[in-house]
Amino acid sequence: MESSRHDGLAQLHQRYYPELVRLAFALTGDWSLAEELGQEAFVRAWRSWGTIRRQQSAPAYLRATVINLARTSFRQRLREVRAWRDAPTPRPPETAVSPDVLRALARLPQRKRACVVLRYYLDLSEADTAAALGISVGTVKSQTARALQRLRPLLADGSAPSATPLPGNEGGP
Amino acid sequence: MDDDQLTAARLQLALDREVAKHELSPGAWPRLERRLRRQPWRRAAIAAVCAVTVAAAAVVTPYLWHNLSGPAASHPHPQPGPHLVIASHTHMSGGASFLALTTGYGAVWIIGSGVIYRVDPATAKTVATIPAPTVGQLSGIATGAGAVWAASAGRHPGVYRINPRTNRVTTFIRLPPTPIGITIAHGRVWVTVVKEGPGIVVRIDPRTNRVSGPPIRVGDGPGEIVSGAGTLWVTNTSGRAGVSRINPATGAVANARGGPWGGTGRLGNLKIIKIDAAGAGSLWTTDGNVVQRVDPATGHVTAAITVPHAWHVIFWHGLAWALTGVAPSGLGTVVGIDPASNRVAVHGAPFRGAPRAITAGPTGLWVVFANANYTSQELVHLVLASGPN
Repeated sequence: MESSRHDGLAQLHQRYYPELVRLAFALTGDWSLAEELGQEAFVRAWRSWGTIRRQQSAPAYLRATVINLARTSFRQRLREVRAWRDAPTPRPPETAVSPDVLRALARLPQRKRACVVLRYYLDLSEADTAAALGISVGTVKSQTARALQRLRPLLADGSAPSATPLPGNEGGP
Repeated sequence: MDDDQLTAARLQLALDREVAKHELSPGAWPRLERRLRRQPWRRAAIAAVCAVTVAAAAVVTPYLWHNLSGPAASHPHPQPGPHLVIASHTHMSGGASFLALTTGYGAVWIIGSGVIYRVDPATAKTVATIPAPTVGQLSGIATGAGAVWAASAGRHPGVYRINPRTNRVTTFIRLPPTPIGITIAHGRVWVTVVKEGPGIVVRIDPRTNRVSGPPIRVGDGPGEIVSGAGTLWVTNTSGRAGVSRINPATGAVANARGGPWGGTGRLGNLKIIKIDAAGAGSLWTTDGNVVQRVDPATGHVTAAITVPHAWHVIFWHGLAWALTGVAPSGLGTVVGIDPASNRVAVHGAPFRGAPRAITAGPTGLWVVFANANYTSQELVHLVLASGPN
């Protein structure tokens, strides 16, 4: 039993760890933190192995755990502060696009951010995205559409977001 | 290709580029295996503690009962345990912008988006809306020294001082970016400030509304700051993380990793990296599915109480109260832990939603839960139905 749990988790780790780190990175904008969250997701999967086997698929559980960790982590709050803050030094043009996308994502409310990352970065189906987030497929559609609507001007032609909004204005529906 | 597809493609491309700059650290699986090897030990330790507690209770209880009640006493009747009941349940307008709240001066004070709400605890209704244009999602709030203090993490970093008698902002004290955590203790307002590299803690003298003394350098990404056991405890959240301890009299700081203070893996727990609250001679924090009790002198975990999905803990009415929740659409609740037994002694009613914040006032606990879509939030007032003494 213990050996089968170990082997099962090892297989999952080999297959899904890189994906989970990418997911966490897209949600938090911090690679070290993303690796930490990826590891933590597997520790929790280990603890909840019986539940996972009985009730839900392991990938969905792992993704949901990473999303949850990214949301609740107090560290996330501080990463968002940094994302909102104006950069202290100008960045060279060739690297400007990527940080901007992280800033643009950081502007989205957590649910919309998760929807758009799962759908368009991890290429999950609407059903898998819904399973990872514990919401309906309809909500995935509407949240994703709104997220793209918000991202469109921010990502147009690689242009940088020009203004840093007040943090309190981020959470609207 | 329509606009949505184009935006999605740009997003994917940009994220791919950003991810390509990083590499996974080698040895992830061996590291994970090492962590997992601690789990059986941790469970065994908790089970052993429980077994010893139950055995001790089984031996001691009849003895005590005999001695306290005398031979003529009847069998004890089970007493209903104390529990939390909902005194009020209020929908908060304005979307998901309420993230910090505190109590004081006969009111509940809640950070909104560009405003601070004053809520009457008797009716749970908003009785004043105080404009504070740059407070928002990241702002901390605290009461003390005759005022309400709110950190502004927005474009105009600083601290608002509000007169609770007039419900007006009386002063705005400018600070370097980005102030986050705030507490009032030892005659000063203490504010954590996130900077590139090591952060700082700034002291404000409430008599002059001016920064008092040089900034205190702490760890990277200082967040919450808690006063307890004659010390200020700062949770550092990035870099090497850990907890910084500030001597309030001298401003001297000791970082957890730089001295003997800190976790040792006792009870299978990892090093303590945050402090939520202080009470009953201990510090309290959470780590996933446990509430940890920490000895402030050594930093060692002295008890690990299993509380599924524990998210944050505060101390009130002689108990440690853990806010729990499973995001995004699961159930959350509040449970009370008796420090005398290190066991859950009080259960609260479950809520559907994501826990966001908790505070305590004279009349009970105040909790903010968000709905599954984070489009609305509920302010819930919980009171003890039969309180522990």
